Amino acid sequence: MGFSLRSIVYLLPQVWRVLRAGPLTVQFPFAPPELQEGYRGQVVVDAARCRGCSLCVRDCPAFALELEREGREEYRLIYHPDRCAYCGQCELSCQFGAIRLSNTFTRATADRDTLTRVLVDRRPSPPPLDE
Amino acid sequence: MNRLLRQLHLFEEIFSAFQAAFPDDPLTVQAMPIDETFVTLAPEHIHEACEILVERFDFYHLSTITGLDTGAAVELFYHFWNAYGITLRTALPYTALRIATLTDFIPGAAFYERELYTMLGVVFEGHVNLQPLLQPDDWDGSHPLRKT
Amino acid sequence: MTKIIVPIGPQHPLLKEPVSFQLTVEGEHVTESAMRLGYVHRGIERLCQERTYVQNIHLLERICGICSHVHTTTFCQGVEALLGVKLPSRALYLRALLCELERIHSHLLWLGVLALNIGFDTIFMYAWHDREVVLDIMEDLSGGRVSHAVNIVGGVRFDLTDDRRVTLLRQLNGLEEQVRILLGVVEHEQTLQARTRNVGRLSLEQIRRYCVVGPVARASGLDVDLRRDMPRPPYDGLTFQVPVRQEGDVWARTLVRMLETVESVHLCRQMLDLLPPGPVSTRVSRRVPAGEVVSRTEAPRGEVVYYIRSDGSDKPARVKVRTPTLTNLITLPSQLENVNMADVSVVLSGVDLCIACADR
Ligand code: SF4
Ligand code: SF4
Repeated sequence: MGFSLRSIVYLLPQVWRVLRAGPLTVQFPFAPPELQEGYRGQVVVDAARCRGCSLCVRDCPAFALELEREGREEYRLIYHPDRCAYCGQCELSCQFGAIRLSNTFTRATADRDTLTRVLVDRRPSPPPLDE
Repeated sequence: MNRLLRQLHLFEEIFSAFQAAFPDDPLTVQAMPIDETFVTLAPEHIHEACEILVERFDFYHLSTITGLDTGAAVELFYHFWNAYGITLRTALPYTALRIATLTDFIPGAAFYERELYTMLGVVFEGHVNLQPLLQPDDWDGSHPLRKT
Repeated sequence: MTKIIVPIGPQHPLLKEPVSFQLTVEGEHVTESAMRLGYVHRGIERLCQERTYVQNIHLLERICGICSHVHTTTFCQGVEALLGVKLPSRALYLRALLCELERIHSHLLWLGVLALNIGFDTIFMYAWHDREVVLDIMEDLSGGRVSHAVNIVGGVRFDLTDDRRVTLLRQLNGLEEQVRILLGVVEHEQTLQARTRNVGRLSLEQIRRYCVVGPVARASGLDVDLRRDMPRPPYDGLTFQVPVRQEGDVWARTLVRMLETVESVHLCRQMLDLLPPGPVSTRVSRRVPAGEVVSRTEAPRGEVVYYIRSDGSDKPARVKVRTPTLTNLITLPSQLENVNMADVSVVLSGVDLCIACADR
């Protein structure tokens, strides 16, 4: 009897602690999620810095980046978030600090193709981006 | 340093035990990084060598069996461990992909042997339940890790 | 008595991952059991041969959704041995720090799963609440809750500022207090003992013959821990206990895991105190010289073994992964023999199943 009483009393401070802490639920997607500074989210590119060296494409483990080259200085860098593993390897591989992972979070979509984004467009006369 | 000396001493003993048991086998020993020693043996000696390791030197823990297709033969690696790692390696020619099972005295080897059976097509003679381990029910009998 | 065959899985509410069991039941007792693996086989070993070492780190991280960091650690440790590079000691400390945090996270998660399976939802909630602290720490350090992606060949990708070190120590103190309460529950709580004592017992002889590893082996009296028995830096300079119990049942496994969690908190604290200054990585070449290596580390569930062979190019010729769950799964038929149907879930959670690891 004393034994079982002890096993109940044990948890009383815990109940108090949890009650005092209040709800821990986050209101996402109705409020912005609280993400840490270094959270690895969306891949973004500083297009001015990108030289089209394709080091990020070579090292991407999920084949989420694609470089369509049309000439020495003409290329497009395309990103497929549906494949991306958010590993941050592209950020590490880029020697020019052009590509990085921001701590933003996007919501799901029902159509894969709408996700694909052209990160850098260096074609001679880029057609208007309708994506 | 002490640990290294003990390791050297132990492996000298193991090696001479192997030499006494298989006088006609050209054994080779290779020290590897991270406290590991590789001993190369002929396939027909593997079972007895494992028995010597387990029973006489108390290397009770068989970590795993690695199989590898080099393009010329199928190599098998038996990784044992007891504070130090020791790996027995052997090569099977494509024409005779069979070797004695270890499950008669290490039942823990059963899964590793089943996996190698499907991945590389090595037949472990004497295994009581040599069924595919990871392959689906409609497995077509091909071996994913084979080069040819 | 009539025999009934009860299929559990591959899709079943009891299981979190696809695996299939066929239990032959007589009355209330299980008399025979068969298991079928392979429902989450992804062919990772084969995929490794077609990717570069850099890409493989991220691929191997996805073998397991709980102990992902230890896989990349083992792989990097092997590749670094092939390359013959010596890591800066700060890198080794940070790597091990994350390994220990991961151990805490894995054991708390496991305690929650066990509590859920025995119907003790309070402890499930509390254990996962405390696990959230560790996940937050890991997310803050590495940028990801589960896939940390911090290991690179030649070091790690994150660093700790001195301020962060101090706050981390404070967070760890709070965590230890919570873990000690959970430990007390495991030691004293009556319902938990009633459900887990004398269930799924394995003898030391069975443990040795089945080559069982990790907490399951230590709960049956096998005193083995690769961090202590094969000391690699930084563990050779740290002091810690390896908890061992003799009972061999699910309760002993629970206790061993909780004691290990406390030890891991101590280890984290020691590493933060001793953290040497310096760089966190060195540059290494992408091509790895030809050779082969066997790399072993102690994961939360036991010994992880990698065999890596390089042919001198930037892609490995063979990567073999042996995860601890695969070895421990082999004991399930003997553990399930004669248990009550209601205790099957306790036995299954006792070995800490991670089917994704076992199937690779
Ligand atoms: S985060 Fe990883 S998977 Fe995603 S694009 Fe960069 S390298 Fe590829
Ligand atoms: S983002 Fe960086 S690595 Fe990728 S193509 Fe541009 S410059 Fe090269």
